[in-house]
Amino acid sequence: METLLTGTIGLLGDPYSLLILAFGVLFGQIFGAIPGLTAALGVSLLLPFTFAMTPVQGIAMLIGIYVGGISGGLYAATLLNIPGTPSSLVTCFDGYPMAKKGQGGLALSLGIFSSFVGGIISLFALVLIAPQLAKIGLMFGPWEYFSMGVMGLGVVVSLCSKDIVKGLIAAIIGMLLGMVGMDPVMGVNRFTFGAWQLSSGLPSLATLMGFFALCEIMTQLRSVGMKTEIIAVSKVPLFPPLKMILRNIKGFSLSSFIGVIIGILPGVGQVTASLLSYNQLRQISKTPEKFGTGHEEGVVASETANNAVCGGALIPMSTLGIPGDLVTSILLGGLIIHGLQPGPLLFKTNTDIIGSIFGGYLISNLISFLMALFLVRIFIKLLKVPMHYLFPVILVMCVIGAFTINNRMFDVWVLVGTGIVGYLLTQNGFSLPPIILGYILGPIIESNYRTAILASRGNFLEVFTRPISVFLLILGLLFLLWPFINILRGKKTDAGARGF
Amino acid sequence: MKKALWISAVLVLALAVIPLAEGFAQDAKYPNKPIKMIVPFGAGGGTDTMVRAYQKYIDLGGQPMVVVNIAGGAGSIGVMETYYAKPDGYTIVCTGWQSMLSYYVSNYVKVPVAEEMIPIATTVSDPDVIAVVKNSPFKDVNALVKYAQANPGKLKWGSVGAVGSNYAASMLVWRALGIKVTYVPFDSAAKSRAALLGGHIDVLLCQVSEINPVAQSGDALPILVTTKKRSEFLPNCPSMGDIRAKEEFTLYRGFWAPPKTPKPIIDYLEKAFSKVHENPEFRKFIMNDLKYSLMFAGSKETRDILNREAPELTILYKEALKNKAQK
Repeated sequence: METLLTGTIGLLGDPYSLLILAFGVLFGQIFGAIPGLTAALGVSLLLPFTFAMTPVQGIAMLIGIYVGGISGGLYAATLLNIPGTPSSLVTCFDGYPMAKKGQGGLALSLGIFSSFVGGIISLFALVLIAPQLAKIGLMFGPWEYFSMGVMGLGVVVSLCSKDIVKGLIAAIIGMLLGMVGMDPVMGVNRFTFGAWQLSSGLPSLATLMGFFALCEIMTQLRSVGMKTEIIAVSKVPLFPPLKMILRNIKGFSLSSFIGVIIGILPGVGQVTASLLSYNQLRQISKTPEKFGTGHEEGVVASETANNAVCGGALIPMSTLGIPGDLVTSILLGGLIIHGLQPGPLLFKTNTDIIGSIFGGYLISNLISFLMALFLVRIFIKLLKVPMHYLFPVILVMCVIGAFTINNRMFDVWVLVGTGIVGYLLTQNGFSLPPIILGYILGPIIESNYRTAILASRGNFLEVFTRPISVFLLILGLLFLLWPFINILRGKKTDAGARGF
Repeated sequence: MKKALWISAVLVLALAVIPLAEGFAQDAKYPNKPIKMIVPFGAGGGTDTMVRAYQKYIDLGGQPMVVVNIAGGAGSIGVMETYYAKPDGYTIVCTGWQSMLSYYVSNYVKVPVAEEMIPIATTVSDPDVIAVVKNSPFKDVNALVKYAQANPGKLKWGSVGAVGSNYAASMLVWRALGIKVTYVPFDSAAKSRAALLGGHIDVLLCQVSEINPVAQSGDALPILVTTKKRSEFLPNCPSMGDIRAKEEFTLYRGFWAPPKTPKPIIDYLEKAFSKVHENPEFRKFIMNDLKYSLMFAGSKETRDILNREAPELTILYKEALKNKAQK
């Protein structure tokens, strides 16, 4: 707590650092808002510029981009049904239907507020119990990761209660896509068809943007020239109504909890966190049938969880020097360049740096919240731009984003390819979230299973000797059986009008 | 209307002449445009940070060095992008011959890249180290060997990758110590370190530069360095020489150009890199912050090292592949 205070005061007392941080947040918000450009891209593009700054300034700017980038994804998700950054994917489920119902302003303000809440709750986890949480993170070995992946796949069933068979097929398609490239243990190339460019697998940004941005653009292109309902957002309130905040307190806290826990586990990420929390909130909700039709709890689940991941991911980074996701691994590189050795010692000896990470995270969340309220007023004006001007611009941005992350044209073709595949699938009644879940969780399950089975010398039963694994597997089983349990209890489990 | 036509005609002509002019200039002097430096790993990693230090200090006749990250395939994708680039000295890559050799032997790539690429220089070496967690029952190599010999295959030995240099180095150490263990491959360095600290593996083999932060804090205990000499960064940790083993492994990193790059260009670049090594500020950064051992082997010397050491390593890589295939 003291570190947070000194760090925050230190930053507040240094107008130049504060300005750099605010610039970082703005840059992040813009990168987050534009589909195709992401927080990770923003951080890696601006990393070289931090070389010339002091460590505190450099860290402040990178954290600003991180927080801004994750928060900025909700505008496009709510207004266009295209996630501005993959982590806001789940926001589309309910944010866009809300906008269609004429509650766009409310959805945006609720999303911005949820992002803020997720950020602040994860800040408290980071400041107060980081070392303890890092220890929990270390308890996760290969078997635990494997079980978590399996549990996550259980979500597919409740995500697709409308058409379980198609949902399962979609999840398997996703897992197959995740298998492309070198296998995690032997290094044997799979499904590459001789293209060496594919040996590291389908590039994830290009794949996700293909499925969501490109596919959605193609779907909406069909309506060009036709009379369509126009989404009008009149006014975005500064805060969602107090009543709404109060009745979602459980949602805020549960989603933040899930976000923080997922954040401290390296390589799992925002999308998984928001899907898990969406699923969890629906299961405890009194009105599960409303999810997917423009329900406030859906927006809360997604935006709270994905921002809570940021604070969670900073925990192993600052206490152990182990990055929780792509952005924090770039942040670590930034520390080294400034002559700081990231690792357990940093947390104990360089309290000034840790303080500026904490303080930077707090101030970033505050600035991001205020900036979002301002920026959103500009973004809703973009809705007045006709789709036939807006879509080509988004398309170009996606191409730039896909190209920049690895600097190769091949990734752009992946973007186009997955876009077309996604379009064909959605037109045939398959839904995309299970594909994404399979694509993200498949490799986690596979590589950890193989590592675990090698470590236990072929003994699969070892998974049942580990309490966390068993707990996660039981949870997964409950997810699988949930629709049936509900039928037995005589409860309705309609997944809603969006059809997953 | 006519005026517009004239202007566009002139513009088209001008555009047509530009490439010609560039062609002339290229003959005149190298380098006359930015040099693309491919880093086959992501931004922020060890290789990336090192290359950015070179970028800061190198003098390429006023031309900038542009760092491009092409990650994936354990570094093989960035190397292949360089392999297929024009051999005009404007695309080079930061890698080492041991990695390139493993891409070929392990069938990641179909061409013998280490043989065909042209070395510019080998600039740093980073030995491997084996480490245990701080509350491990094994406080030194002897305790570890004793346990492993009494319980063959019981020790969980983690590292990154199942084929390639980390596995090869592990095999050398097993041979030197005369032990049998269960090898546990991870897909990233961060995960393998977390697995060691969390007690999911008994031993971790990684590079000295990677273990340093957790060794300094006392969370991990390095117990053996894989070179004959002790590491300058872990002066208290015994080396292969201390236990009288003949085996030795250290990971080299340096700069390479596409096959058939003309010799004058290689000479120019080799000189440029060797100049950087004279800069005390640069040396301080590489040693204090990255914990790499600095060295300098030019183009010819790198080729000599490769010719001398590659046959043995190839055998080791092949053996590693065979071991895996049996499992």
